[in-house]
Amino acid sequence: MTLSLLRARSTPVWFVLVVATIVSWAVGSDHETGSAIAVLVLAVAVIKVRFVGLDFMELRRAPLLLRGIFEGYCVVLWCVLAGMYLWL
Amino acid sequence: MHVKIEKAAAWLGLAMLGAFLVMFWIIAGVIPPMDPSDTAEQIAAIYSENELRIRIGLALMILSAFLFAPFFALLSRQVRRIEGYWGVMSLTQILLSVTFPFGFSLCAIFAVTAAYRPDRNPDVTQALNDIFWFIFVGLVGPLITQVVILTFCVFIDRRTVPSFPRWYGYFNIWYAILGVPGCAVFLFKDGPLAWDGMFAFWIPLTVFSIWMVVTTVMLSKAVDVEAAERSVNAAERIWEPAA
Amino acid sequence: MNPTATRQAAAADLATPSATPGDRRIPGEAGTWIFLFGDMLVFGVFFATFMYERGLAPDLFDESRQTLSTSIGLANTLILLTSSLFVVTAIRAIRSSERLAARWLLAGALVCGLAFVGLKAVEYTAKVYEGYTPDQNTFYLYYFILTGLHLFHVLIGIVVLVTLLTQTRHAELSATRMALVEGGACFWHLVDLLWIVLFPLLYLVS
Repeated sequence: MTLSLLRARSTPVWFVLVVATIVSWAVGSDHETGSAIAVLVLAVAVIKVRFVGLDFMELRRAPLLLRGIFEGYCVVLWCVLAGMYLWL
Repeated sequence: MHVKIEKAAAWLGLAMLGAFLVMFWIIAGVIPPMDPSDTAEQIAAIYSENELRIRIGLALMILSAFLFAPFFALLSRQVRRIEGYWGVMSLTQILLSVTFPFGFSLCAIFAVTAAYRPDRNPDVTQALNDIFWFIFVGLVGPLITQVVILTFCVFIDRRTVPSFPRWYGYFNIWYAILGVPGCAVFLFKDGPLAWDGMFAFWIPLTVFSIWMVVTTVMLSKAVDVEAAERSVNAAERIWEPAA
Repeated sequence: MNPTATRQAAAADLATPSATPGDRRIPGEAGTWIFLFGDMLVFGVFFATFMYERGLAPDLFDESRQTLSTSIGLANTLILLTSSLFVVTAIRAIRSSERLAARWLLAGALVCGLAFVGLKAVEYTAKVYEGYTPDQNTFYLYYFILTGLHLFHVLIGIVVLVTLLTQTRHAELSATRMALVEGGACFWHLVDLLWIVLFPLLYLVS
């Protein structure tokens, strides 16, 4: 019974998120300040946030305005954080 | 007549928000806040250089702070309508509303005292200044409690035409959570949780302003809902319970 | 415990429950999103403030960052991701009236939440024991404040999960209750989402 419940989009998404987290951790622990790796790690984080919102919070099937605000937030967040990281 | 007075009370709240910002920011200049890690001499210098504008701006606040009262009286009445009688929630709203204007006037009295005699011992001035900020920024309990009760009321309101829309309840949850960090100012002299910090001052100030604007509009609409209900009841000769 | 119902619900799930395929619906109540987006916005401001402070002292931040226990941070991230999977699967179970499955899944999510809190307690104690306290430098100040604020959200989330568990008592949930349940689930996903940004921000990027 539970197995058929897991046969949905959220389970492979979870797997991808776990892999992305481990990769970020392995790659991101050792690097110098101001490196491109940090920007990449932030991008991966924001992509993970997007998946959580779309597939866990079920925004994929939400009205486009709601989904749009969320996706916009992800883009703005990455731009602001990566920008501040590189230029401050 | 009742509707006019009630709506005036709602919009008075918004007017008082504007008045507060003008008095504290533009006239007195205490917003942006002073630095908690300044020395006593630096604080005394700020007060003697800005003596006139601080005293005028804050004296105006001390005089007018109590004009917040009708707004909160209206809020308490709306809670009473949802509760059905003058119960614990509505009475608590009134009790906490009593303390609300003091959050502005009492703290201002300390700041005005600090500015009153520029030649005194700077340590005394600094101590009075500390109290001003502690009351102004740090006393978050009364309003947060009011807002939590309001949230609860919005969600339990099961009438066909509720006084407040449900999203207003979620909005109040958001405000309550963001208003809380102000209470940490007693523990920090710098950083985001000090009285000039991002989390303890600027965000609560912003969300408080937004809350006043939104609540003014919501109260105005709730007055209309109540007026409609009142005229229906009058037609059927149902009287409002005395308590 | 009805495989046919699950399969039917899963098929309907791909469209949307009680709606024709292609219809879009808001998860939870509309008002919930005011709160969720509001919280995301304010945390966004917090993240930006942190990056601003980092910009003022990048070497100090990098040096202090290296003292953090990245493995605990990693474990916590994986724990929250798994708990989110449990929650979203539990919602699906509730929709197809598989109450027992929903209960187990929510209990699993609750265990994950408690594990997160436990690991955080271990982490904080270790830090303080090693002499790193909030007043030591700006990095640690922000580290404790940001993770503390997040922990506060986790604790609220645990209460929400317990509430969701009590809702599994009912065989059928009314539309309002279902909306509240979905809203509560979204709040837990928000807790996960915020940590997904916090972990790299504090432990990897600074």
